[in-house]
Amino acid sequence: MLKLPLLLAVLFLPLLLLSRSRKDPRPVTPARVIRVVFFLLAVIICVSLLGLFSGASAMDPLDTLRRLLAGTDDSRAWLNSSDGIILFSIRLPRILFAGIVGGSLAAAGVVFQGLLRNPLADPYILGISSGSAVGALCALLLGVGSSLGVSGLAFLGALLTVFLVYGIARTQSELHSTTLLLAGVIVNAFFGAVIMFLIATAGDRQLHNAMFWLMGDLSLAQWREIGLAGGFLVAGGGLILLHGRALNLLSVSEETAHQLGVAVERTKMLLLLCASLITGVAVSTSGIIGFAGLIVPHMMRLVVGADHRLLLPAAVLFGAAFMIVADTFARTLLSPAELPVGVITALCGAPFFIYLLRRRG
Amino acid sequence: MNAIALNAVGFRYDVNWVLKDISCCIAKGEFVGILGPNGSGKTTLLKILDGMLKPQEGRVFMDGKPIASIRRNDLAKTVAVVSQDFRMTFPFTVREVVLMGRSPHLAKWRFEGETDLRIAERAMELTDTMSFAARSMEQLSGGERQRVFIARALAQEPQILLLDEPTAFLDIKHQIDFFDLVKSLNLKNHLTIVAVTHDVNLASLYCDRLILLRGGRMHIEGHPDEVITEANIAEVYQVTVGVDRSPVTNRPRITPCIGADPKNRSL
Repeated sequence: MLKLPLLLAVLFLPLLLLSRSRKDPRPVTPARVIRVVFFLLAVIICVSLLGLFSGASAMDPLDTLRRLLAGTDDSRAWLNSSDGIILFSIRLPRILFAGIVGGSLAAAGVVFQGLLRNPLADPYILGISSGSAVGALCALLLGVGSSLGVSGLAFLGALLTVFLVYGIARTQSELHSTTLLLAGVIVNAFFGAVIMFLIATAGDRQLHNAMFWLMGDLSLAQWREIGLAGGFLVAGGGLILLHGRALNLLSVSEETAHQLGVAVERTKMLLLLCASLITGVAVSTSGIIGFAGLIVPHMMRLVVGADHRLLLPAAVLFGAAFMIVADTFARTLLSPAELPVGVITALCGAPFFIYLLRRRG
Repeated sequence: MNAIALNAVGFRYDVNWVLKDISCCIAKGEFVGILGPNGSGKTTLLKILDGMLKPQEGRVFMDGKPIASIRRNDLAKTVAVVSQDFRMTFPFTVREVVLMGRSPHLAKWRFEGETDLRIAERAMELTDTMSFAARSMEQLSGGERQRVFIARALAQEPQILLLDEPTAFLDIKHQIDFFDLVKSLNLKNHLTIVAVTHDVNLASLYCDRLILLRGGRMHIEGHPDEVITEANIAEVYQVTVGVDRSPVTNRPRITPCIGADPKNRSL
């Protein structure tokens, strides 16, 4: 149990170090971005190792390392033992997936908040959450489309919702942020009703699975999903990062962006599409993990500033670390029972956010 | 050579023409004011000049080139805009905002280099914003914010500066400070200025030439002496004013005649 406070310390204390360097009045440089990236990568490695050795069956890290390095035959045998399987076939993929989901949600949160110029925006604001939930519940409760699986249907649901929302909001050649937000709210409300209907008519036995999916569950990840979500995060995140300066201008106002030479409509569409796809892929396997995509961008903005060329990579990496820690809590707090990770993200994210806000004011 | 030339420009959002038959030339280094009541098309005209709106009729030339043939990014190197003061959603610092002005000069993935930093610093010195370069925009007053936005516009190194009611929310001191600064940039740096404003007296003080719009058409253009007359103001704004000359600058100035009786000139 001592590990949990240690995890929190490893996650949050480095932020204080980073935020001190925020006093630096110079603008963002590539060197500074790289520094922050390596710093946060180190944090991710630390929390991952801590997470790897926390859980229902206790393992000694040093002993494990010794066994791994002991010699080829010996370590291969150990890998097939129950300890080896738990570490590398259950915990490691889960930690990787937690990191990818956390990074994806944070990236999408940064983009949606910046593009819509709305601090309350999160990755789900355009209805991706409810759309994929309808898809997932169709699979879980009604057994529709079993060949696609839960995540396949959830991704389909997310994709259809995104196109529906854009379709509603788009007028001729322009896409207004306010209309987009409203369309998202309406679609969210409609699918919310569909979700309620599905739950109300479901049998007791299926309900537990459905509730877990709705609150976010990282245990479903296989290597295939990890590769897929990771690939989307790297490709989409890279594309967003390439438009970091344009996103800065768009987050001031669309007129500003236009006056400073940005092709507003095209860039907006591209960024929204990237963020939506990243979210859709992650959510389709993880379920709806609330709060991380809202709070991590804010934390990072307080720590590294508003420039998206630094904010985006920082948020992705810290989002990953945050989610790994939250999932470790979810696995171990009531072990051997598990909590939905969404409960943890909200429980430990909110107080820290309040602290950051107060410290600043 | 003309900085801006408009040839029979017409624009409409839907069926009704917001601007019709606008033809005028603005010479390099000129300070031109655009006046007119609400809905007369002033801001629409400015948005055509910054490439935001494309007119359905007529042609617009910047520096002798048709505006439609100029790439978005290249236009931003020639034309800069300062609009009404507004609050930002996110906590950018003053220096970051000024550096945004370098954006059209940089390739998509490039960071600002030493040259860009130097240009931004000079812009901040000119606008007297250097002292709060590291502060966040949300900590500034309205007057300070507008100076930062001028600095950003200067960092673009434009030849033309468009102002869209830039002093709408400023008190009289900051209004004067703002226009003094713009005027000095106009005189020293030969920046062409086109300013949309509601303040007839301010326009009269600072502009070389005024364009008075009425219902999307040009009512009259010329020196403030020709434009600011009792007849023109009454016709365009539907108010009765007295026009005399400022004892300080000898420019025409208006005083509205208030009260129920339009003939009442006692004020």
